[in-house]
Amino acid sequence: MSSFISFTIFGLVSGAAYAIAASGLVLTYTTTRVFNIAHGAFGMVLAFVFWDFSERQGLPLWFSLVLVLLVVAPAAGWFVSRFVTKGLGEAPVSSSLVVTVGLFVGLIGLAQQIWPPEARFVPPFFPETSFQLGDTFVTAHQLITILSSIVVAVLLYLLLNRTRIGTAMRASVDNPELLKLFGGRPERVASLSWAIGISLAGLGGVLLVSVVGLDYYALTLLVINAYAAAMLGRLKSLPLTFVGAMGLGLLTSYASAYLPTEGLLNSVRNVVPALFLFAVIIILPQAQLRIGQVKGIVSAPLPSLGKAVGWGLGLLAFVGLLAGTSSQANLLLVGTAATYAIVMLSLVLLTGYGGHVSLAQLTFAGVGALAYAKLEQPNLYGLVLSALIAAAVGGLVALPVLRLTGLYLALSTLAFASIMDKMIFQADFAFGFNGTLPAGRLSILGTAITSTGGYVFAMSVFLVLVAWGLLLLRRGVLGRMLIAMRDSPAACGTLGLDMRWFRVGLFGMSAGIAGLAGALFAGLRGTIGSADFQSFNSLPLLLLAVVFGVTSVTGAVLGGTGLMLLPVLSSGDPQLGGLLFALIGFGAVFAGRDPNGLANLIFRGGRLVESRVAPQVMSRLPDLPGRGGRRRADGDSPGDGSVEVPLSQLTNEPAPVEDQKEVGAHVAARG
Amino acid sequence: MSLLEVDDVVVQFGGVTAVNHASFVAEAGRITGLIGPNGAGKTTCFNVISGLQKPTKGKVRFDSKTVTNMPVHRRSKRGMGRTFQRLEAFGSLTVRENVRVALDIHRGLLGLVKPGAADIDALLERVGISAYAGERADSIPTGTARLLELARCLAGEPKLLLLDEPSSGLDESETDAFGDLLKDLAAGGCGILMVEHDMDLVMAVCDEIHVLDFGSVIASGLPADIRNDPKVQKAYLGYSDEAPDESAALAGMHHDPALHDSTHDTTVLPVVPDEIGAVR
Amino acid sequence: MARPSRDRTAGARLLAVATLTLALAACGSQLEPGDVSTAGGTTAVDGTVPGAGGAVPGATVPGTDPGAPVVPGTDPGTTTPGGSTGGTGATGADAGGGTEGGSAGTGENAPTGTTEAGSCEGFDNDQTGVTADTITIANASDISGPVPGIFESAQLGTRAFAAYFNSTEELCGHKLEVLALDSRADAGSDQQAYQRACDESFASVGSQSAFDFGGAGTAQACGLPDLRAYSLSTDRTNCTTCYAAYGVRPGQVPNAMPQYWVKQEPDAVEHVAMLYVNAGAAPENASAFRKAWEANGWNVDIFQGIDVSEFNYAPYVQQMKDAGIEFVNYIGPYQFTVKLQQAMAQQGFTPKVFLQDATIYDAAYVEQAGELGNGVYAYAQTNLFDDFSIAEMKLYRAWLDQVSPGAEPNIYGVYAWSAARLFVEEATKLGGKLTRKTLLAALAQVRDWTANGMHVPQDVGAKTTANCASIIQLDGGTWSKVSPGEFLCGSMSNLGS
Repeated sequence: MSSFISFTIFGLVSGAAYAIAASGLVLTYTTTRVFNIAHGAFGMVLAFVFWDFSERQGLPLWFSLVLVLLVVAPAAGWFVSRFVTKGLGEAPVSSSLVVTVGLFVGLIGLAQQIWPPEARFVPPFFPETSFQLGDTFVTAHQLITILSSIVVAVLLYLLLNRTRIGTAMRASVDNPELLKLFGGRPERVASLSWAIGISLAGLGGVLLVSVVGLDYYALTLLVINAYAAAMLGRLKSLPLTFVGAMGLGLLTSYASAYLPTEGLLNSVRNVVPALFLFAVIIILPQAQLRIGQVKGIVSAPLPSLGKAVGWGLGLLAFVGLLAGTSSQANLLLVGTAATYAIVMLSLVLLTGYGGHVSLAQLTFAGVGALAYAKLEQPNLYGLVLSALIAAAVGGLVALPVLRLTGLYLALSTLAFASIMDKMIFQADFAFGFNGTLPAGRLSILGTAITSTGGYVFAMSVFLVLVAWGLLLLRRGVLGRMLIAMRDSPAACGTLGLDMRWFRVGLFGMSAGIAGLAGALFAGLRGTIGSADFQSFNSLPLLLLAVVFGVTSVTGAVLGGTGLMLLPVLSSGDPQLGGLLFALIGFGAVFAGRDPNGLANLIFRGGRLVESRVAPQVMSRLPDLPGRGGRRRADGDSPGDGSVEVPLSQLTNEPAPVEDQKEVGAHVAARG
Repeated sequence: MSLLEVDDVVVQFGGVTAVNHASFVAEAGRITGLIGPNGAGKTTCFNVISGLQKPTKGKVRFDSKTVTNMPVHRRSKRGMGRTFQRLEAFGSLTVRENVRVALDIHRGLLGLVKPGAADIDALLERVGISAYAGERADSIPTGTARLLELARCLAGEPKLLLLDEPSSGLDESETDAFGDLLKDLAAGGCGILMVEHDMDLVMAVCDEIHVLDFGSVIASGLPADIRNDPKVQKAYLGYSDEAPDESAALAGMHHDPALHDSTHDTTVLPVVPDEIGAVR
Repeated sequence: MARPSRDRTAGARLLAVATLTLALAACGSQLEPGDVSTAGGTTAVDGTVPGAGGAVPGATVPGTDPGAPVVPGTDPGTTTPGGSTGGTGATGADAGGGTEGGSAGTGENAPTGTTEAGSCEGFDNDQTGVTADTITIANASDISGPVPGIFESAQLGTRAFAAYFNSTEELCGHKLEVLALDSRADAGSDQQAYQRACDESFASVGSQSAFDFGGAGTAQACGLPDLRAYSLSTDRTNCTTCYAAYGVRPGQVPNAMPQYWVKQEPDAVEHVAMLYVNAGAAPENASAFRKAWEANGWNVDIFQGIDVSEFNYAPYVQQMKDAGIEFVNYIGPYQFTVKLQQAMAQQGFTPKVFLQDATIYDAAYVEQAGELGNGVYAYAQTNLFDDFSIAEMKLYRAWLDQVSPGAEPNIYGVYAWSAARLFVEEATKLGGKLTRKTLLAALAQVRDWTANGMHVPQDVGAKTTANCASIIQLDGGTWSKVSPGEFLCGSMSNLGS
């Protein structure tokens, strides 16, 4: 019994840390509708700052604490709310997710850049002091952690329930308009909540750093556990969030104490937070469709069929040339790029067309690779079956989230990736713990493709086929519906579209494409293991897809090449890795709002060349994809509607701001 | 039995009550107006009726079936269509494609074999926006976009139309034409529930009017009765300090949209926050 | 590529790897379970990241004053050897001061050892990686990646030996050239690096990669002799052209170490807790060790994995208290060792023995653990890096300082140096008959390889697990050997696998 009490106390300590982190997350979400994936990354960076002040510069502990929590963190929060996440809550959830994932990766890169890898150590508060409780010792640091969480809970409760602005904050998650009624200055409210939120992230980081250690990833990822806690409160209710956090802390503590140490249940212990997240998501009530968010994303132009065919063949010719001339080593790189490009095509479908975000796309590729290796059918049949299996798994992931919105879908992919990493891929029936599986190279219609050059060419054929398939789909009924769903889920619902199964199908199809890429990759590599599909790498993949343009096939091809080059570049200077991460992360922060990315700049450049530089040059070149402008100029009315309309040209349209103001005026006048 | 019955609905956001025990009905073949001062809860009522907002309390019955917990799309399948106050057009599709999507959804798999180009043209013609067929929906004027939303609804052959400020953005002659269209639709048996600030239009077309204030229905009746109801007068006069024109408008049953918009301290048109720039 | 490894201390390395590579990445790079298990008693076995595993011992070792004896011309002041150097410079790598670059050895420590050089007649210059006056050896190790510089020490060790060799010797008129490749802590990159090695080098020497399964098939397919520092994955071990200075065979765990404890602490081994990090190969290793320990008379009461993301170690300590544990064996990165020991201290739990593999033979561990580390035991498969009674160790330290001033020695470096020496000795013996094939045939015959006493005997050709280890203890910031003799050697437990 006494040890049960001990485990309870230990669980509460973990729970308190989760609670502090989760409450900051909830606060920023309720007031600005931005789910800050980077919450933990902020905690990590602030822990480094704390180390820098207290250890490196030798400032007094209390002074460092004050500086970090009351100056640096709020300033960072203010900055972010003012310049990064402003207005993001109104944007589609894919934008806000991409932006905060960008922050996540960018902050990790930044920390690596500022504080290069080195042994660093932050001691706990009052390391010598501890209190005995029966058989158990509670250190002063643990006590401080628990007390901090209580203080945070009480202060937040008072803020949200006993102040006028707090009431508005609470209401605003259901109805953002109400915030405007009460707060008057929504921006100020957003800044305030971000300042507090980041401060809480910092508090969590500082409290955890002495036990977790100063590490770029450990601290950042720990907070993912807090997502699960926040989810119990549906990202709105602070009391429920605290219950969730404490429950999760206790659950993990009891799990480590009482779960058997062998067999499947043993590995369950490691995914308790992820399972908790899944469970919470499943029991969450039906989510309401959002209305009034920003719509009508400017899409990259859809190439005409002729152009698509021309460019596809051009790409094949180029790869064919490479296959004939490059060294084997470089061909492996080309094959890797093709793999990433196909995975990014799956994101074009899911994110670019469908408006949903997956944080586990590489894991789906892993499922495809696993299936391919396990099937031991290195032929088209095995390939297609692998893709179908990946598709089924993708559908399965989307299924529990059927009734919920995009944010929850994205978070469930995160939980899914974690479960795959820690449980499934490692299992004996899969790759095995640390294991690898052999995978044969594909044979098509009985002809085995053994040479690396030939195989890479075959991969690029699949790349082009998938790209064509996507473009065709985009032109058809399904494509239109996808765009419609992305632009306005609410309207689709009121027009009678059951988006739930549609979404499951979409998700499955996207996972299937990723699975195809994984299967092809397995064949390229010959030996494949779970290490090739580390879930974390799905994040840079998503970001690069967005930076290069997640709405166009061209963007995917460029992005795939970029992702392949990333480690090659940082190989030149190992320290460059952090900088590249930072670049990609913060690049995505800015690109997040315009998912057409760099590819669109190329299209524009192409159009410019087209109009300025003589047409006779053009007549000698194959058609370029995506010059929507020319098609238009030709009078060939685009049947797809995705004409590129720059943001700037649209701003002269009258905006329907009246309704917000209308509401505001009424209540303001009376309140 | 009425086509639509809203029964004692309450909606709370955090500590704020947006709809407070509201009950009203709308009949088939008739145009029902839902009016009230800004923030009275009209749009929230629409959200509850169409299923986008779960009521804290209360019931919604539609076509003699309780639909309170029915998902949005199933209500639509049962014949409920709606437009939005803040536009929900598919911005990156053309006007024609917007309607086409609606038809596809309505017809399901049938749509695959039946192209329905003629139907689309007919619908665009009916609401009078054929001229914009090839334009992207986020590049057309607000009033046109509202008509587009109506055309989309009509593709689903609804029994009940929920129109949220359908005439804002239309000029006078367009509004007149729009009024005729509504009457025409009602004559065809369709029930129409309309939130509208243009009192001329409301008074001209509505068969019955419900007035909402602070989330409660404070008056229901024929247009003439509503016009003279002291409670209604007071509700509108409640903030006459800031908006004398508004109360005057009600008193004289004349309403100027531009003035209406100017009741707030920010400039009205055409202000577009940067981040919404692409939208409408 | 020869970057001084200053700011990459083992600490950051480990943790980062442990968490990123392992946790996140689930990767598990490292030791393939089977192998590792076998690696019984060996250092890198700790099952966590190899980087982690191996512990970069070094900085605190007396005698490693990096500032003192470097080669003229290099500026020792510019590099700070990993934040934690405790170096006292007692013995100092005096070697560096002398000759034009590093010290020189004689006899068995000469670049080609005591082997008799084969006749150079018929030396074929028309082989891959061979020119009229150079032989190119490739080294593909993890340099960049999530943990920059993680296995750079292996590349440096290889280059150090090549520099030593080139300073005085030639192989039938050929100097050695090292083709430095980066396997980027990624299986695909490893494969790509090996593709280049196949195309551009004669053999690959001293490589060390977390995900070394990537290039195994490639190396075998092109017949490239791959004489690694360590071989981590089953695929690499099974590769017919791959050998490693540090060998492992699945299912073999040496008995000497557990038997030592049965003798020393007969009571404590009745109440053993084995805790391991739940990542990489650690779980599999741990269960292999458990079988072997128990076969040798230990009684394991608690056997439990701890997730990488765990930060609350108190529940595990509570369990050990409840069970009356007296002997704690931990398998995991040293950062987590420190966490565990902190929790133990907080809960007032002091077992008689706290034992880990050589992961904690690391300056950063010593620094972080502080007083907690006093009395901790480790078992290692190398000699102490500051044991300059071993001439070869002294040479390694001196030439390491030559190729990368301030770089820290560690077990990967030691075994990479060892691999390079083995390559040179075997190639010299072959002389004019040197081809990829003859080299492979020669390597298959190598037994009891110790690189002149740097490490425990390794049956390189047989690819078996080394059956020796020494027990070292930390006290007051200094490691010293407590087991008798040079190494404890004995039989192997054959667990099958």
